[in-house]
This record gives sequence, structure tokens and C-alpha cells, in this order.
Amino acid sequence: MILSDKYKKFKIVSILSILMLLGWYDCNYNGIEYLKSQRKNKSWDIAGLYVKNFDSTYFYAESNTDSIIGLNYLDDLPVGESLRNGDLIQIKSIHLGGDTVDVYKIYISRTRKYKILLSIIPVFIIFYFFNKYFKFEIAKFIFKRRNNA
Amino acid sequence: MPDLITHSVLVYTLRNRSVKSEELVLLIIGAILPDLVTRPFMIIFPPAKYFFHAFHTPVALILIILLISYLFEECYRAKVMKLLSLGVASHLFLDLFQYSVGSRGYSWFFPFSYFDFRIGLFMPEDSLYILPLLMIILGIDSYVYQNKKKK
Repeated sequence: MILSDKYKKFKIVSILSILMLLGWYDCNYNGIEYLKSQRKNKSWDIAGLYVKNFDSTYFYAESNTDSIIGLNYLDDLPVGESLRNGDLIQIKSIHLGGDTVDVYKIYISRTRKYKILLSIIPVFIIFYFFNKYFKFEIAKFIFKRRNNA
Repeated sequence: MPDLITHSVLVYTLRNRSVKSEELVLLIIGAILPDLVTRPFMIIFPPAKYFFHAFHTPVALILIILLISYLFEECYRAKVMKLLSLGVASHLFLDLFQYSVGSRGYSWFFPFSYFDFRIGLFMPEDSLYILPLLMIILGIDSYVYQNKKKK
């Protein structure tokens, strides 16, 4: 019943509307609220920070929504690792005041760009094969299996 | 999230061997779908990341699968839904084992709860280090399967 062509356009519009509502709800009631709640907590766990400046006692890092000064981070780095400007980091920390935190766990995501680049490969391969087995009929706005597949 | 090669290889090697080629394509699309509908937008439009974050949750993914299935012939829709759902389930299963220091998590019961549960065996980028091993497994699997098919 739900997969039939009956009221197909209505069903598609309904699903799209629900998806937009879910996105909006998450953006407003979790995104912003989450950031606010993070600020109220003693413990600040933040991902997506880019290191802008550092020395042996502190680092300054920014994300789209936060800027942080992290103290006492050296002992929490993985063995043999050191910070570099531009590093993407995730931290667990205790809030000291203002934007200053005492870091007790730090993870450097240095290979993220390679992960993103490698992730593009299967997308191209899969869409090549998808095009091999399916064709798009513009008039009906559906994908049909190719007869030679 | 582990990289998309890891997600694709996992579902490729664990698939039911009787699955047809075009069905396998749909299965793998399912396996990369959660990241496909979120990550590019999160990377290109970082301020909208919480909007797209919602699409990596089971409820939204079911709706997205349903939406995609309407792009196929009526008689084929149930199969598309089944294959995409299996692929998506494999993706979420693998993500379950990921650990993250400071992120918000996957909100398995969104929009009813933001409860996050992860087993946390590896960090997001660790999958890159097992890629060579995965490629070897994939090669052996393809070789054995092709030989069996010839016989």
C-alpha cells in the first residue's frame, strides 16, 4: 500500500516535509541547545576544533561555533605526537572559566582528509555500476532496470 | 564514521552469494547512503551540520530509503527498500563500534531521544589503517567467488 503509485506525489512531498522538519528540529533544538548545554557543564567535550596557535603550555583552537584555549595538554597527547597548526582535534576537558579549559583527553584527526578523499572512490565506482544496470526514464521520473543488465 | 571503502567492502564480502549484480549495487548504495546524504553537505556547509546530522539517524534513514524507492518501478520498490535497508543497517552496525572523544554521537532514537550508545573499539580514522587488509580480503573473496562461478 505505502509503496504503491497511488498518491505518490503526496507521499513524496510528505516524506520530504518530515525530513525537513527533522533537520530543522535537530538544528534548533539539539544543535544550539547542545552547544548551550555544553557551556553549562563542567566538562566540555568538543569536536571539530582546528588548532590556530600553540606552545608547550596552551593551544588556541577554533571551530565554526567555538573558540577554546586548552591548557595542560602535552601529557594527554598520544605518545610521540605533537600539535601542529591546522590540526583537527577533538577534546575532553574541564571548564576553568571563559573559553579556557583544562584538557584531559585529546585526539588529533590528521588523516581525515585522506579518509574523505578515499571515500570518494567507491561513490564513483558504485554510480558507474548503477548507471550500467539502471536507466532513468524522464517521462515517468523513475529508474528502470536495463534489459541487458 | 569509517571510510566508505570499509563500509562498501564489509557489505560486499558479507552479502548473500545469490544476490544479483544490480541488487548488489543497491546493497552497497545502502551501505554508503547514511554518509552520502550527510557528510558532503556537512563539509561544504559547516554551519548547517546539525540540520544534516538528523539524516544519519535510523528514523530519517527509513524515510530517505522510502523516498528513494519511489524513484523505482512499483513492482521493484519492495526489493529496493529491502536492499537499501540491509545496506544502511550494515553501515549503522559498523558505526556502532566507533569511538569519538568529543562529538555528539549518533542519536539512535532521534527525534524521541538523543541517547547515544557506542561500543567504541576504534577511532573515526582508524579504518584507514586496515584498508590494505580489507583490499586483500576483497581480492581473495572475488577470486574464490569467480572460480566457483566458472565451475
